[in-house]
Amino acid sequence: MTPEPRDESELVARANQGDTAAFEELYRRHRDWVVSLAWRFTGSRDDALDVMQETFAYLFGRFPGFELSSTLRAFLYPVVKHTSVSLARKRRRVVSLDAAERAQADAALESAWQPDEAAEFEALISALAEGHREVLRLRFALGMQLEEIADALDLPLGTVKSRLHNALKALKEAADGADS
Amino acid sequence: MTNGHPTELELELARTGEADEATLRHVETCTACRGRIAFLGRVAADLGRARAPIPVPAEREAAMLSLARQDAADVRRRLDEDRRRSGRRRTLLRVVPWAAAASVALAFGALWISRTGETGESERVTATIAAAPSDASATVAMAPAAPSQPPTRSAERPPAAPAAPRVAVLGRSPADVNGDGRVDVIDAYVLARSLEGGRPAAQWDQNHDGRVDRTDVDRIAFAAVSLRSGGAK
Repeated sequence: MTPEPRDESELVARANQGDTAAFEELYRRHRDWVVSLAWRFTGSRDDALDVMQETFAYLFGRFPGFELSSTLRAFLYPVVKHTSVSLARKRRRVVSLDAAERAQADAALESAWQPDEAAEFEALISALAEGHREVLRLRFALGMQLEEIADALDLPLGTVKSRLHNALKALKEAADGADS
Repeated sequence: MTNGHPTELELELARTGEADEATLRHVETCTACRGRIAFLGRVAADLGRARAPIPVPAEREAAMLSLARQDAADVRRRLDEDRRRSGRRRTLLRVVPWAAAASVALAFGALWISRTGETGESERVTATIAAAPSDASATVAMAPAAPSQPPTRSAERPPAAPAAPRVAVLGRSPADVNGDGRVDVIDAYVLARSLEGGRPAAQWDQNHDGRVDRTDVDRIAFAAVSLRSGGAK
């Protein structure tokens, strides 16, 4: 019996060799995070489970030959997001003939994150630009490090730092304004 | 730092322990900065508040694990196929140069026969090859030869039966370069290779001109093709 691999890159290396235990471990380790993220994007438990299934089918299909350049969460984030957006687009039954309305609806899908109504700072964050909002959510809601965010969003690290800095500044000013 | 205080980004990094030492030292002594970090902590706690996890239904969980097992098996199958394919490629790479060299030697032998056949060289060379053994141990007898018959030189031999194309070598012929008991085109090839390597043994001097060179290779090639086609004359 092979020992349980602990390191993520070691797990990926073993999955690249077709190790069943490594496949199962990758699934078990990231299942809840993927479902939770998909739920935030879709707002539906059933859809979140469908997104989870598609996400892992995509991940498993990358083996053998999968190279992990960052963390697996950074790899999975865009997959979950795009799968959620695609699902939401499929679910959208009425398509407007008006181009502007269609563009607006598509933009709404792209920023698919479902706001947590109960969150104290949700209203303040919603006022920020989408790019700033997303960096802020990856940092605070998902607890990602800056390099991980850069990989997940496929952005230079400097851009991530700049967006986070500006987002925090805007948030602070908004909070100060709300207090006074 | 701005106005002697860390920026918002540096404070956020200080919150998670990722900031540099100077920032961390500043935060320890600055009440205002600690207040800002506390605010960032509230934001993180608020936005990162864990929702109740969504339980994955048992049948979906079983389906996912089954998918994991299937995909792992598929990866192993693909890797095995790749290994088999690369093994076949390696074998081919080893065999092809030898096959090509043998083909070239055969073609060369055939060409030689056609050229010498026109000039009557054939009979002369055959006789030379047959007469070549300078040491008495290397004598050639054509099958089917009676074992009791004494070794004969080819010039004295009766015509070989067409049904006996193979040459049986008793002792070692000077043309049997690789020592496998037969004189064939491989001997010509081996001698050619040894010429290329610059280390031909003097014993392979087929025409007794005091040196081992290409003409000796030609003679072996000719003899091999000529004898194997039943053309021992």
